[in-house]
Amino acid sequence: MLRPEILENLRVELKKLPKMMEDTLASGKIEPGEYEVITGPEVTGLIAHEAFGHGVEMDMFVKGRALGAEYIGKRVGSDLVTMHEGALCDDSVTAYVFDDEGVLAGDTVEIENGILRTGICDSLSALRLGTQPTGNGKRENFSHKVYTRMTNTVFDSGEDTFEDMLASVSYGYLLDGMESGMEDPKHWGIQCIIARGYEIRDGKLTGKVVSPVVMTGYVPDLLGNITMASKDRCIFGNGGCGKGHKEWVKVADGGPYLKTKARLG
Amino acid sequence: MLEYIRKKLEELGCDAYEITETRTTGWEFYFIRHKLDQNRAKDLTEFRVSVYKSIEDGKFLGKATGDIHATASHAEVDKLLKDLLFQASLVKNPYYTLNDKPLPEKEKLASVDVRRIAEDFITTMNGISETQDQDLNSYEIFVDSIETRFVNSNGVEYHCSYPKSMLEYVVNARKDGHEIELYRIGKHGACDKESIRAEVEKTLAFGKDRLCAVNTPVLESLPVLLSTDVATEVYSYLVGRCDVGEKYMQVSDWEIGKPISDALNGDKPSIEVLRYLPNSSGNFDVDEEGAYIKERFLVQDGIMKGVCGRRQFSQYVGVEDNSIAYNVRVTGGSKSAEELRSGDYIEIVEFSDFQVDEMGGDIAGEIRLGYLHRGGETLIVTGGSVAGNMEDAIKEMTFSKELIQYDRALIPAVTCLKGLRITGVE
Repeated sequence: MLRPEILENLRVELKKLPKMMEDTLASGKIEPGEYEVITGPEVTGLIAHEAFGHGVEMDMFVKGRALGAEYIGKRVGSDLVTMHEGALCDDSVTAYVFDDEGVLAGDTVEIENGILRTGICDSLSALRLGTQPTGNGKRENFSHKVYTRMTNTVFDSGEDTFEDMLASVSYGYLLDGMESGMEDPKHWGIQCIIARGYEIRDGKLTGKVVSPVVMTGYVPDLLGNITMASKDRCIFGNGGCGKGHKEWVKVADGGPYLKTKARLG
Repeated sequence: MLEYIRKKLEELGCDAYEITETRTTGWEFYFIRHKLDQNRAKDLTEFRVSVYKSIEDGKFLGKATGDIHATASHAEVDKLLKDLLFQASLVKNPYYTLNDKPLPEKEKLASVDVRRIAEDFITTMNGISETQDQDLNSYEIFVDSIETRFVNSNGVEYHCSYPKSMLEYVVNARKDGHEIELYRIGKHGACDKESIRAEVEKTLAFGKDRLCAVNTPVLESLPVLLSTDVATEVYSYLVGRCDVGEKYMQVSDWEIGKPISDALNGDKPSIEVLRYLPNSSGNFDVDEEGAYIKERFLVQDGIMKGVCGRRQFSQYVGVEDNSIAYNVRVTGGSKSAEELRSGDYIEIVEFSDFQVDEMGGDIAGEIRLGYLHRGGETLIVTGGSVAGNMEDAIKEMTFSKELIQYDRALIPAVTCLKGLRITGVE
């Protein structure tokens, strides 16, 4: 039987909620500092979205608002970092055949093995920059202007197992569940507010939970410190994304479990 | 169209309805530096319809809401209304009634001059003092005249017009080949030229300081001073605790007649609902459900005095004569802003994002620019974060006697929170 998309995994997802709630209720506060972290797919997606999603929306290049314009062809992450962006990347809520300007949807490789290759572009910005639109011209609704916007933003999978990643952490946190994030395309700062952190000591989860967790840092450091990526990946997409604090559109993001270092507070 | 919708709803046999017709005439301007890059105009009429269906002999009342565009055909309207009625019949909300009190005599509809307001924004932004090292990167101006007509099935009718504007701007500051940006967005009614000019020029100065900022050191807990629009998050949380929806869902445990905290050792806030604030985008006599907005205290001297919120939840918690709060004024500070800025403290003027979670009260924000005052010296800092919880912070919270307005909120110019965790970078 064909069901609405939102109902497809509802039974499975709902069963996870009481455990998450119990974990959050029993949580303590984190001791601020720099830690080894494993990001769950939802947090991985948040990093993708905030780190290089907004940072390579090329209408920001037109305004001289993005540091990314100066880094095309340069290293911005470790060899394990390959990131795709496009409505064709996944059949999520933001998948479509053509964008709000009639440009066919794409699948753009923004970062390839740690090297920033290109950004995403609406038609007007493409005209200004002398490049081709990528199918990323989106508007909040019919009465709003088109801006360059994200669709599916996702890190590629790696070759590691989650178990091996966990075993490799001497002291750190598994970060799970996203609350919100904020970009800084000019300065490459990143802020992610994460629902829960699960303590890891000597390669094992101790059962201690901290909540909420504010992860901050410098994007090239965060991506440059990625040393492991899991084989599987998930994409999440039922939320909204603003251009700054306005113009809300549907986006999706995700990826595998990633191991890196981050400042948590 | 409104009359057609009303007639059709009565034909279809819905038990109650609300219709809001909104006409938006607006101008938009998109500047890069000070050069106009794009502009747009819009004239948009829409109808929002809420359809109610009584279920099980009035034990429940179902509601479904949909939007109808002005260009919709009668066949499209008929289908949407039938669909809404079906959807409403599936929703088993405990029964409640719509507003039915007659409204005060209508005043003449206010005239909104979009052209003049837009011109005020543009000339204000053009007149900003810039230097070679600090300037405006870009700005977007949105000016709307909103005309709203509300009717419900109990005969309540209301017609009003008001201005609604938004200014988004980005400033750049540069030094020795390094450039940073600061982002701001603000909602307004009309354009208050002086306050906008002061705000933009203050942001330019912050940009200059951020270039000199060093990493936030690891700090023991220090008082955190908020003196920008992010402080509205703190007061929105307090207003939310007075919302009947939060009361009904047991998110708020505040009770009328009781202190808002069991240990209010700092200042005792007073929070008032106002119908009118100069240049607010929320100057209405009547809320969006047709309830007259009475000016009243939600909190007075730290004691909860009243509630705000929607009709449905008002009835569920046994409150009649309630309304949604749009404009609020927060007072009760015992010290001046200057007195709060004494001793050791960190005043954070730029966050990447600052949030107070409306459910649990968690506070979180990444520091992009702060002024650390310690041992008589001032250090300009960036990086790291603050975190904490409002339930704890409210106990020792102090705030200034001086007030400042951010759109619909007239709040203390300086707010001091204690006990937050400050994560440094070094």
